[in-house]
Amino acid sequence: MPLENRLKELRAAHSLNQQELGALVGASRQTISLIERGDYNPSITLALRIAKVFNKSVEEVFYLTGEDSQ
Amino acid sequence: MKQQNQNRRIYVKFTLTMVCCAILGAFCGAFASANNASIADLLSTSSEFIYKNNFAIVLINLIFLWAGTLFAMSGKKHAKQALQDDFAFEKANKHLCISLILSTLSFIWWFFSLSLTAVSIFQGVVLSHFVLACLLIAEICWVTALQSVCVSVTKQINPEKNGNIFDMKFHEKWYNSCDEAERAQIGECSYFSFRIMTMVYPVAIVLLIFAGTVSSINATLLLGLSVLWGIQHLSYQIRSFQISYLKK
Repeated sequence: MPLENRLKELRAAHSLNQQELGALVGASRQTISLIERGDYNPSITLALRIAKVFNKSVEEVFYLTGEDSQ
Repeated sequence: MKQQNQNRRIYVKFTLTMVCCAILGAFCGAFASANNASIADLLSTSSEFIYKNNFAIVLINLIFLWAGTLFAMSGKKHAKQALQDDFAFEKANKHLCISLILSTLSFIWWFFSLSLTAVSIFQGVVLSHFVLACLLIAEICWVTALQSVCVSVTKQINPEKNGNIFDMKFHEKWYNSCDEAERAQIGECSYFSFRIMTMVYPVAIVLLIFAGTVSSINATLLLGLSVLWGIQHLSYQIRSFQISYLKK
């Protein structure tokens, strides 16, 4: 999966569990868990909402790895 | 150039598959016609064996139900900490999913048991049929209760979820309460199931054709299977057309 994220790290820094983050961004807990594991790439809307909660840009939360990052 | 080579390979693979299927079909057809009596005997022996073990078949369902209940109880136990603990949430979710799979298996097995019992009853009622009927009633109550528990615990750990399994619009309401990732997951699972069934229907029809070489097959059975295949395939394609061109 070329898209990776710092969701778990940021969530821990803000003392939020998956349930609380899900409620803040309007997503289910299952979705937050899937994104963290890299099993689901969020839509632009959801990625923007997540970045806003942490007061970061989308690129600071989500980033491409490997060939796709070039 | 690479694309052209790939296309050529696809056609070659398709042709080889068709030739292999034709050879296998010819072989099976020749074998079936040469062993008419033995295949017919095998079919009737296996049918007799199934009817004779009707009671055991009904009882086997209790294993699925028991296993499903154990997973549901474990899911319920983890659900208590799930709101605070992400690990407990994952565990609860996983066990509830397994319980739901087992309850579905049990539900299908129950219909199979019911059809066997119903056919036996039509051939003449005996005392053991009352025991079977009571067991079947107990099993269907157990399956329903198990599914109800799974859904209510899932709703407990996912408070945004809507739907009651006794509601006719349960699937619609549940889907509407799912977010983008869950809907994508439902779509992926549905497509997987569609692909499996696309293979299962032709195989089932071919098996019926072979069965038809040893004993007469009711034409409505062939028609019924073709109609089911048609419903499955056409409902997919018509919905796809609606989404692409009609739905605004």
